[in-house]
Order: sequence, then structure tokens, then C-alpha cells
Amino acid sequence: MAQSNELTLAEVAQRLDARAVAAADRLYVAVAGGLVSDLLSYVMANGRPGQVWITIQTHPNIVAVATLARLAGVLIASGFQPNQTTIARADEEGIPILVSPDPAFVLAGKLWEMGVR
Amino acid sequence: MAVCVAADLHVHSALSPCAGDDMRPPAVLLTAERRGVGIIGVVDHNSAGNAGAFLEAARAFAVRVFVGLEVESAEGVHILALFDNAEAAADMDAAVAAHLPGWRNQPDVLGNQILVDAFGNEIGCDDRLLLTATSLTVEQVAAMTRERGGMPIPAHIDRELAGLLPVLGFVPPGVSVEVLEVSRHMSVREARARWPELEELPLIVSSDAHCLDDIGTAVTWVSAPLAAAEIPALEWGRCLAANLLGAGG
Repeated sequence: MAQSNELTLAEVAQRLDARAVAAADRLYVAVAGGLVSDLLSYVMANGRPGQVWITIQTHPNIVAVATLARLAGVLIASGFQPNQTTIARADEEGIPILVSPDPAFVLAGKLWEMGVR
Repeated sequence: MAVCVAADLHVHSALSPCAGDDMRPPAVLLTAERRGVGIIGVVDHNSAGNAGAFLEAARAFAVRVFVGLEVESAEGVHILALFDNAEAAADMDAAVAAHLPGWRNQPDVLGNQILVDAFGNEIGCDDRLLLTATSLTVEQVAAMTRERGGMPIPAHIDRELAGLLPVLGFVPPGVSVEVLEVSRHMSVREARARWPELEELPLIVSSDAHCLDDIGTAVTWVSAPLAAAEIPALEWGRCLAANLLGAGG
């Protein structure tokens, strides 16, 4: 659970106008930085606990990778939509998935402006 | 009588924009034959447009030919879809075509997409943008290949550009394949050392030839009976997997 001065994923979702499509009950976690990549192996090697991961990948493997790296959640950019398998797995694992029509570049910029580092 | 036959299951033809314009049936087959490669797989990016020409030409050479496509999935992963006959390859080609974005190729930037006959004569050009992702998932590509009796093989799984492991992190449990391909830049042993999850999986190596000189630069050794077995590609893939595991990889 986040401290009062920390930015939560719920707040991020609200300010980005992003929609939570999985594990919406797990949005009250602190966001500690972020990373942008569509190579899942890169995220496995470089993801850090609490980060929000911006990607256009929607394959079910993103859930396993986010779980392994203990990320706060996945933010899917450019309007890509995860399928039912991905959503079901994310619900099971408790990995929030947010979707936004904005491209990754814009999302990263907005997160930076919110103070996410 | 050879005990083993060299197979290079990933060779592009002149239809791939990134491949040489001289990758036509007689030249490719002659090169394979001269180099002692007894089996080749001819694929092009998201198309099997030259499949029939290669199968027809193969009758004049001591080379067995599988034909098909190298499909790019929605995730950006390349998967070979190999068939033993032109009809199945054409059927897969049509199914994949429906999932292309519908843009045009830019030959000056990406290269020519040449359709040829069995003699290597140019019979046309494919104007579609083939060097791009389809809207099919890796699971769908594998399933569609199997439905048509083909063998799906994730291509160059070690490569950061369009390789299954870098792109998707690990082999997704829902992808149904018999064997996986390691690029010529890595040996099977090196791949297994780097990705321990590959330990139990049958791996092949291929050249991913884009020019004549690449053909046979990486091969997988197949037992002579399997090399000659007249069975559907999907079944051949199953036997190849057993063959590879039986030989210790």
C-alpha cells in the first residue's frame, strides 16, 4: 500500500485517462519509476520492482514478465487491446493492466511530468 | 549411402525484398546440391508466392524441398510455416494475406519482390508490403500451419530482431511447435547454455540465407531414412523432433 505522498497507479490511471482492464483492485500501489520496451527479454533483465511498464505488446507473456520483475503494472499504449487470455492471467496474478490510446512517447512524457522517475 | 543428410530449412527466395534478386530456383537448388545440402526449406516474408516454382524445379536436383512462408506475428516474432506441397502453402499464403496491413512495398528502400517460374524467369512482382507484422498471434500462426499439415518453426529464436525469446521473453506455453530454430550466429549448445529452458526442446540451426553464398552455412543433420520419408510436413516435423532428441540434440 502506498504512503500518502507517493503516486499510486490509480492516480496515474486517472491523470492519464487510462482504463484499467485487469486487476483493477490492485491499483493502490506506489509507482516507483517506469520503463518503456516492447522486448520482453529487456524487461525481464531491466525491470525493477514498482515500475510501470509502457508497451504495445499484449501477449499473455507480459503478465509473467511483469510478475517476475515485480512491476506495479503494465500500461498498454497506442490503443492496443490485450485479449481475454492476457486479462484473465493478469487478474489471476494481480498485475494491473491499463490501456490508453496515447502512444508510448506521450505516456512516458506525461508520467515524467507527474514526477515519476 | 549417407547416414545423415544436411538440412537447411530456412532459405529465402527473390520474393523476399531483403534477399538477393538471384535467389531463384535453379541457382538456389544448384548451390544447395553442390554444397551437399540434401534438404532445404524455401520461405519468404509473409508469402509463399514462389513455392510452386521451387517444388517444380526441385525434380531436376538431388535436393528435397519444403516450401512456405516466414510469417511475422502481431508481436513481431518470425515463424516458419513449412509445407510439403504447393497447395497447402498457397492456402496458408491466402490466409496470411488477409492479415497483412494492405500497404505497398517500396522497392527502392526495402528491395524487390520478384515472382519467378521454375526456370528462374521473372513472371511478376508482388506490390504488397510483405516485410511487416501481420495481425496474427504466434499461437494463431502455429495453429494455422498445423491445420494445413505444415510444420511451424519459430525462426532464429535467439535474435533480438524478431526472435521468439528476446521478443516474448520465453517460449509461450500455448504455442504448439515440434522444433525451434537457432540462428547461424549461435550453436545449439550455446543457445541451451544461455536459455536453460531450451534444454529439453529439439533445436535446429539454419542459415536464413538471403544470398546464394549463405546457403548451407548452418545446417541440421537429419537421419537418412527421415530425409527420404514421404510423409506430410507436420508429421515430418514430429519425426525430426524425435530424431534430434534421440541424437542428443
